[in-house]
Amino acid sequence: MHWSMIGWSHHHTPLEIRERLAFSKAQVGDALKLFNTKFPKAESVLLSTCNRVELYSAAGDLDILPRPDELGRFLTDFHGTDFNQVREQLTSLEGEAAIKHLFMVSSSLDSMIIGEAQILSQVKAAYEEACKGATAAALMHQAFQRATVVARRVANETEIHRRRISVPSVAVSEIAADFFERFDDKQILLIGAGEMGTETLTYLKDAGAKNIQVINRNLGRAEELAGQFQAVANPWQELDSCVAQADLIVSTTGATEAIMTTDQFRACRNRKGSRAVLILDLAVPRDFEASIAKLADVYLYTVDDLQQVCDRNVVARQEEWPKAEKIVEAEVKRFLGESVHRTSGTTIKKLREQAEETKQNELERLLNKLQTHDLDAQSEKEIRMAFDRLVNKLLHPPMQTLREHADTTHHATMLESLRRLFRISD
Amino acid sequence: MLSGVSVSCFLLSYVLVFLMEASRFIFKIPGRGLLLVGMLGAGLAAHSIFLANEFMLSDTLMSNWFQWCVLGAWGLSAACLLLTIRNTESSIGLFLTPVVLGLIGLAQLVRGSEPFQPQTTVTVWRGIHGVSLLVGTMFICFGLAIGIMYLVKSYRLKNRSKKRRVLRLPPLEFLQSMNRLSLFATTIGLAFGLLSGIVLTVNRGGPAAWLNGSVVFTFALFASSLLATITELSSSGSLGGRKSAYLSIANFVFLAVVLLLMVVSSHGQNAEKNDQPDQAQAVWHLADRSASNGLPLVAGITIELSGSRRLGWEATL
Repeated sequence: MHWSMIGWSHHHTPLEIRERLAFSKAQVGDALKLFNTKFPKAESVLLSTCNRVELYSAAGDLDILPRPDELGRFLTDFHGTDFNQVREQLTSLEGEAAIKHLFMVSSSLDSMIIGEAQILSQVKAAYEEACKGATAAALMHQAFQRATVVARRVANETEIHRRRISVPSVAVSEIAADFFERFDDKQILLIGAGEMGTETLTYLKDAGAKNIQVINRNLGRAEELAGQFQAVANPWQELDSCVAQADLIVSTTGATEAIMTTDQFRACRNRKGSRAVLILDLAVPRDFEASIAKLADVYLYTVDDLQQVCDRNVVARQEEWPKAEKIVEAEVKRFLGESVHRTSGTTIKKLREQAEETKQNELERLLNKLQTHDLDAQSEKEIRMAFDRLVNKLLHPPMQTLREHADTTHHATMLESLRRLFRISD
Repeated sequence: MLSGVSVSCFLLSYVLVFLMEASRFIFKIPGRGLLLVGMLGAGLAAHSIFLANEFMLSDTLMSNWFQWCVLGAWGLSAACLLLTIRNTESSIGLFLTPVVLGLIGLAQLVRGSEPFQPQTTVTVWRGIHGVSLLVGTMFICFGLAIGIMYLVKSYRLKNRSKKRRVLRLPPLEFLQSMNRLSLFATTIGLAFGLLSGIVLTVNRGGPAAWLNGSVVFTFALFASSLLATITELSSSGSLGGRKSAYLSIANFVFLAVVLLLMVVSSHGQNAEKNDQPDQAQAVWHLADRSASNGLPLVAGITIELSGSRRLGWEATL
């Protein structure tokens, strides 16, 4: 069993080259069909994301496995690009290194942002596409199914995925969740209809928010966004009354100066009494005057505050990296060990069958001869047992050696020698 | 039943819980939440066995100040266990176990105190009085821990603390709802306690010590709880702010004074013993000395300990 991987990733390849080599979903299907035609005996999975284009291939025999240059050319030719222009940036891995790389990629340890959750679904999608195109068979099934298991282990046993690293996700999962136990009974106000606000609303919706109000200078845009989130759109003139009612305010306008002064805020909050409010001011320049944060029971977070949390979380994820890598390394060892056992299992079974057949033939021949000499039942039993012992004793040393070297690189050579010496064919 | 279980058994568990919580600042322990739940559970089990033994020995669970305090600590540690199970990653034990330990410490201080009046014709009212005040006390102590947690959490959020992961606390809204619960339960407990106390005094006949320091302070405690409850009810349904947290802490300060007065005075104890000159007593006095010697109005407490020793506090009004 042999695996290899060639590809271009964010580590060594600039965006311009990655863009040229990227595959759309339809192109992946076409490329796999072409691969099947060109290398019919090899298996393949093509993974193409914005950060990497990688072709994984596998074959039972090393002679069948396409060489890295062949694979590289195959990909560049598909896009009509000169292979020599991108050869320098090409990463090529084989055997254990290729498997480790696959596990690292699926566990998001090789991503540009360590711990990002999207990569696993991209790996799964690439594998499913290969299954559809019939370019993935037993070897790829084993490797990619295990890659999913490894990714889950890393996610469950480390904190690498737990810490959010985008401003909207941190705003909801860390900051807002520190204030509110639940969101379904909270009045949420989104001021402005910017991208950041929309993304924050997505997270709030996922967290259970129901009462959402959207206010924007352009009412049409507010209504459009409100429709998207089953929210209520309000005209800009109602800003003060909306602020007065809100438990959580997310502000993302593109205003050039603050839309809410301290006096204005104090006046509208006084209408509602002394209840606390969380303000996530994600706008630059800020929508809420900084001095509003000094008011009692007002918790004001700016985009800088949230970015600091994101940065700390990125560092924390990186600190989890060695722990995650250990899991990957252990899984690679286990996977390769199991693969070796699977391969040697077939050979050993055939060797035993071959030995059993020879033993049986010789035994029958001998017993037929001895029948003329009045062979009693007890003697026949003894002879059969002696033949069994002989076969077992002859096979024991090679089997034992194979077992002892299961985790070494010699194992494949030894297995091959065994096949040749005993003329075992697949 | 497991007669070898002593105060030190559960005390040790609670101390370990506190130390494990405090160690969050120093190092990480995988599965700390589960360990805490386990230790709290073990402590609570030992605590329950101890109380069961006490009950079997004296046929009542609140026959003296010692049992009263141990029972209060049991209620708080049960609350601590439930909250820790609900929020395994939060440092709830760091705030609640000191209160539990404080009550156990107080229990040890008053272990040799006289039992409450054994001969009484108003057992039911007496029971209501004791249980209500115990519930009120437990919720005041609970409110103290929750109030402090609220203030710490609020301070950290307000100042965007960078070390939020070291000392994790439940969401502000949860702390607020717990604070509300403690305020309401305290007020109800104290209301029942005072009402039953009045009925007890009326039924008993004879002179009523309405100006006894502990009684006056219990009334003051009830008034402050009622005020806090009204304030809380008048605020909005969502996060109500820090006011109620401060009120919970103020309630505890009142309670500490009341407990001190009750423990050192003869409240609830055998009336015959009250006449003894060596018995410690607390006297609440309010005097307008201006009429007699030209001094301003003065209010204060004087705790008369055994012999001629006295502890006093006075405020000029």
